[in-house]
Parts: sequence; structure tokens; C-alpha cells
Amino acid sequence: MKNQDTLEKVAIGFAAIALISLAWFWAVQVGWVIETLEMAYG
Amino acid sequence: MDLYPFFDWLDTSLLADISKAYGGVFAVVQMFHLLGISLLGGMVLLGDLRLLNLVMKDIPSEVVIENTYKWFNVALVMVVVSGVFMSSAVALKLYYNSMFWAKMASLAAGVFFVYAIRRPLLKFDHATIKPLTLRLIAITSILLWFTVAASGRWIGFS
Repeated sequence: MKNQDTLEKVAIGFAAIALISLAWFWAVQVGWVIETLEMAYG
Repeated sequence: MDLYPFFDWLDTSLLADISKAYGGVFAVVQMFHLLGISLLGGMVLLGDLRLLNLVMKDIPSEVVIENTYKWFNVALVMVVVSGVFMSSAVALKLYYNSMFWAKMASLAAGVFFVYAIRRPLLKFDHATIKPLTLRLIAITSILLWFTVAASGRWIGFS
């Protein structure tokens, strides 16, 4: 049970870090696409 | 740790000779790579959508999750083996491609998440795990593996 509680906490921590990192990563990519489109079409 | 020597070796290896010289072989291996991605994505979606209680509600989530493990392992081996072969054709180009490293980072994170966190935790009775944790695991898993596949596709555009 203690092992399960620890794993749950690790899972929540990992998920939080992963979701923030992925949000940042895709925001940068979408920004790059928008910038490229602006350069191409004004 | 600089991985350049490995990519330099890969670029001049026998694998590179084959992948650069025989387009047909490359195409067949690429087909297995895409098949592996489809299988892996299928297993991830099946398990995670069940954890989100969106599909196969009449089957216990423990059963669904347990049945995805074997084919997930098969798919992972398929994508890694075929991926190394495909990388050998453009090893040095990939070394300087930031999207390739994004894909490798998300792949490493995905593999760590599956084998070190998701599987050990889901061995317990799912009813004893907080529903919010289960949902968080499912959403993280879907987004991580989506990023692996999408950043792989993105390599071609960057």
C-alpha cells in the first residue's frame, strides 16, 4: 500500500512535469509555424 | 555526453551502406516502422481511453491494460530496430536536427513512464487508485506518445 502511494505521487509528479514540458514544446512549434507563415504571406 | 562519434560511426556502417544503396530495402523497413507506430499508438490509445472510461466500459480496465502490454512491447522493438536502420541513412543530418532530439527525448520519457511508473502502478487494483491519478496517467501517456510520433513526422519539415 505504501509502495502504491509512493508510485501514485511519482506518477502525479512526472505527469505534471511532462504536461508542462509538452505544452511549452508545442507552443514553441506552433509559434514557429505562425512565424513562418507570416514571413511567407505577410 | 557527446554522441557525435556514434552518429559518425552509424553514417559509415554497413547499415548505412544498405539503407543508402537500396531504396527498396529502406521502403520496406520504413513500412515496418510505420506499422510499429500504428500498433504502438493503437495499444496506447486502447489502454488510455479505457483508463479514461471512454471505451470498452464493460471490460475491466485491468484486463484491457494487461492485454495491451505484449503488443506494446512488440511495437516498441519494431519501431526502435527499424528506426535505427532508417537513421543510418541520414545519421549526421539527424545529429544536427533539433526535432530528432525532441523525438528522442520524448521517446525516452515515454519508455521511462511506461516501464517505471505506469505499469508498476497499474498492477494494483485500479479501484484503489485515485480516479484523478488514472486520468492524469492516461492523458500524459497519450500526449507523450503523440509527441513521439508527431515530432518524428516533423523531422521531415525541419
